[in-house]
Amino acid sequence: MTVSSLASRVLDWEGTQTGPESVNGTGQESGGRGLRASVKGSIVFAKELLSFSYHRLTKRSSFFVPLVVYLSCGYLLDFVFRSFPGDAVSRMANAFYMLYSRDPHLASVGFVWTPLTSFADFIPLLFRDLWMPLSSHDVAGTLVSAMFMAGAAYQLERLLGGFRLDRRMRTILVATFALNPMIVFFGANGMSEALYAFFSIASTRYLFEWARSRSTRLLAYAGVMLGLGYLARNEVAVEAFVGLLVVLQQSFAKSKGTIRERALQSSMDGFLLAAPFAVCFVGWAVASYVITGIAFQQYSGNQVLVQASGFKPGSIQEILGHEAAAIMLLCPLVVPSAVAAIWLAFKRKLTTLAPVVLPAFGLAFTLAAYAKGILFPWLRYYILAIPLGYIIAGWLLSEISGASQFRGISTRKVSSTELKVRRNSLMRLPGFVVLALGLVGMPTSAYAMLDPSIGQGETVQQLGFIFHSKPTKGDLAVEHKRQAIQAIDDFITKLGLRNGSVVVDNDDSCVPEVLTSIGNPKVFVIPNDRDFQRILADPPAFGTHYLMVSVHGQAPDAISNAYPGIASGANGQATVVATFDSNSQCGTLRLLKISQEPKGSSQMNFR
Amino acid sequence: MEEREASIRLGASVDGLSHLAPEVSARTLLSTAQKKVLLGLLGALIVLLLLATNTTLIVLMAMVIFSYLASVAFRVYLFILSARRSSVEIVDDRIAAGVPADELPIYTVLIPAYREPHVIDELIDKIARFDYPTEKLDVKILVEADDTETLEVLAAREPAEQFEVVIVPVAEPRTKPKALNFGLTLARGQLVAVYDVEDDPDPLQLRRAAVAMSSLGPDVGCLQAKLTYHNQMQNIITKWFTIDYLMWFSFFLPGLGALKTLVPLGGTSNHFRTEVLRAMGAWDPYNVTEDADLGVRMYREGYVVKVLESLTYEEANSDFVNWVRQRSRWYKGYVQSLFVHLRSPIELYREIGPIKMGHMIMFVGGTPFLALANPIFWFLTFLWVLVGPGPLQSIFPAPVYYAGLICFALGNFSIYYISVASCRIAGRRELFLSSLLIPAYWVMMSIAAVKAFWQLIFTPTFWEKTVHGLHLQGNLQVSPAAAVAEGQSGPREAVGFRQDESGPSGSSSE
Repeated sequence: MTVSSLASRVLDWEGTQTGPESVNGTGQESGGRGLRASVKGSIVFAKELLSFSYHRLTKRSSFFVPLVVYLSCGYLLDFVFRSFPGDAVSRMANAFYMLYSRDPHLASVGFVWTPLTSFADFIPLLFRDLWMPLSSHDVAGTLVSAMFMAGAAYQLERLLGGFRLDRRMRTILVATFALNPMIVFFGANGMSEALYAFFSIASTRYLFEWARSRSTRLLAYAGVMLGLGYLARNEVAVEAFVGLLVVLQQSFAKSKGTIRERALQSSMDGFLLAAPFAVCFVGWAVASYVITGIAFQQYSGNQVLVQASGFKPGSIQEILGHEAAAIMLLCPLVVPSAVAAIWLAFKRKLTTLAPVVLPAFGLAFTLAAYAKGILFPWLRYYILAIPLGYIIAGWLLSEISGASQFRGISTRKVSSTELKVRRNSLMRLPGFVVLALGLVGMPTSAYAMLDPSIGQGETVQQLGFIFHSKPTKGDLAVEHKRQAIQAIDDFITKLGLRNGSVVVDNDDSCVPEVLTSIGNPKVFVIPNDRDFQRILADPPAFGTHYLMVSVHGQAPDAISNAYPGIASGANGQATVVATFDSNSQCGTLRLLKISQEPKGSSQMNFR
Repeated sequence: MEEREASIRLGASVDGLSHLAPEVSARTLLSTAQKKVLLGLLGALIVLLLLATNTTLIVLMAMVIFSYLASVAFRVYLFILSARRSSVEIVDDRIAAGVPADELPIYTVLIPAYREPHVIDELIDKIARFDYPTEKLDVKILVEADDTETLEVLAAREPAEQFEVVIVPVAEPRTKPKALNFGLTLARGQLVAVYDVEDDPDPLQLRRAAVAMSSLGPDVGCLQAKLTYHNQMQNIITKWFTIDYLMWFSFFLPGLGALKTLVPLGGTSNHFRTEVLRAMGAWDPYNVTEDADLGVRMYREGYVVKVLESLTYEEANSDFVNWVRQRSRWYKGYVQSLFVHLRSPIELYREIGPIKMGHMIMFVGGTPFLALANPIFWFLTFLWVLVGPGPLQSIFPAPVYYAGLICFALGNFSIYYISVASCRIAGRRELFLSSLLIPAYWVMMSIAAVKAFWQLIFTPTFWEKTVHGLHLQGNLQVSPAAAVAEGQSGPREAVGFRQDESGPSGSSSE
């Protein structure tokens, strides 16, 4: 090579660039014809957006259709009947305190209840200043439960798809699930049941898909679902534990190599499933311990409530009878399909049933807790029976129709002719039975919800007045409660109090509703405030001159504990300014004005 | 080579980029404007700290925490994206091996060797294993003129005809990219690959890259093969290092590929289109991580980098001190590249837009930043446990405090979880126990990061040379003199830490 040619080559290196035409879209064509181009561009964009959302809507119809149903029912509950469960309101109220109380801080979320529902409510509540009903009508809770319940329907649809059930079958099954009155009610009312159903179904789906495909990502998703699920409901802990056992066993059984290598692999899979759960479990316990000094308040909290109510579980026969009736009515599918599935799994040695029955262990835990007297036998605690019935039935259909053969779900080989015969003859009867039981479940669920002898009759209290032609005592109580809350709001507003004027204990069932409905919630000093104890010990020193006391509650509230006998106003420490008699489960709330320096009792009982 | 010819080539190697595109050359670390801005910021910070100590600390802390969160979240996102099929270019063995020899392009392979006489033999054997027609291979071993030991070994060995020993004239800066540039001026191939002396690439890699390049559009300027280590089971450090590379090359870089954004290259097993490389001014001889910088520059010029499914085995640093030196060099280079590309942010914004700019900052900047920020958070947590929240509360208002809490709990956990998941997805169950202990490796990273930032302030272009050949038992060919020439830390690395034998083929399991 000559030096001159070399120099030209070297120069060529420094020469013009031969890159492709602007991959990054730094086009220079935009210029003079700007307006026309941009109008044209925005039309194209709008068209694309429309077709994109249409595509999404149809692809995810198992999510969007139920969502519309739950939101519509939520609208009826929140605005027409104004009936929202106290527990839903108190979850939403906990999120509300984080944002709008006198002392907004994250720990306001409280540790007596699992926090995820409140954290989810937190997001819509951010916009509460723009639209008050988000808190006053618990629309925030409705939005959250509707999203999660619709998500549960979507996850069920995907799981049934994983069972290779054909589209029509899947659609009808998911429809009977999503429109089951119990599912609709809990999708609309803002309770944590929607989250419980969502996380249980989703973790089951991912675990099942993992068992089939061995894709580690699915295992990670299942782990995350179980971890988050635990933050929504304690029962999920049991599902996580069983899930871990399933993963350890299945991973070991299907791995190759020496015993040590197989053990390593299965513990690795076990780690990936359990780690997110462990972090949620330990993280929440540590947070609770650091802030309240008790690591597992959500367990002890519930137990205290049950014991305080004097509730005693009956004999084993009674408990079993009670549970069986509730579960059979909520989902007539569950018992026959469970029996058939267990029989089939034993007969054919099918381990694929294991990941599918995860929610059964959540239910079993509820049963045990009820028998031990730790939980009330609320009907809603059995809500998981509904998806469980569909999941097991779906698995059963896929096994007996041979549909599982397509994706290697089962270990048994079926020839293609045999498969055809099976699909034609067998699919009809079992498919029909499943569909029929699914449909029957809708009215039986409604019956269970409206029969006060099933569960604790809690849904009757919420819904009775919608169906009864003549208002019952319970229906009137709901109405009275509403009036009492309105009266308190009006009275407090009329007094024109400054922030931090009234000490109140929000443990009473109606106080959260008062706080979230009132114009200025900062008027109240509540136990979530970090200075609550100091103010309660000496209110006037902090410029607080009012106390609001619950008179009717089963246990004395924090104020009556600190100042025994003050509620009646008889001991001269305070005078009664107003009494709000709700004539309902809210009991009576009394507003007192402190007349002289009260002496706090030395045995103050703060939570 | 004539002296004049050599000097022209040398001139192009040293000054090519700084003439062609001075704005992206790291010849000067900071532009005058950058210096002014940085000094201004520093001054403003001091004034603010004096005037409003608390508020300034709060704002600083908030900025650190939110950048940290963004960087971690971006990594989790990349990990999820890496599952997409489009994230990696796959060329089957059958297809790669089946291409007739006359359809393959001439391939130039550049191998810079600086004072590494003891691995030359091994290198020549490994290159000979390439499944590529000899007449189309143009292998250039790049040796510095004063590196007599390596030259002697090469002369004694008399490598086959496809090998060419290129003597790089002695000149500053004495860096790998300068040697590569010099080699590139002589390249005959349409494609150029870069390997380190101790590499052991997949024999089909050149064929795979050639097939992939021919099927991909002209906008793909470079393919990056995956890197891993042949001595991965040697000790806990090499195991951690292997997990680190696994995450980087099998998950994070493919994730970037799936996002169609900039990919910082790893220093070896890069396959370029020669004309693209030349037109861009090739490597920046003044940048400490010329590879990562080149990846960013390629993107700015409109080219993308894709990850090629093909492994190259490298030698993992098995020694703590040596590892820290190497890692601190990488961090330093990343910061250097970041500064270079942020010299004219408006131009960068026009070239690649706000989102890709964010990607660059979160990935190129985030890598050293995360390592540096970690000890700060660990220390604060430790303090919090020790003395309680009291004194910290003043600089942690609620939102910052909670974000910090999420950072600590979720950030650390998600990266930890991804480490284990990466090993599992890659089927590397033997790395499980090491992956459980990986937080100790993060501490090592932080040490390297602190060292890097220290050096960046005082010796920005100091080149931390890595000693190779530590995996060879009883290999005493590295003379103390060579080690002294490599850096400031003296000869201790050369002899002090031989490890158990773990040959290049002995422990590799893939």
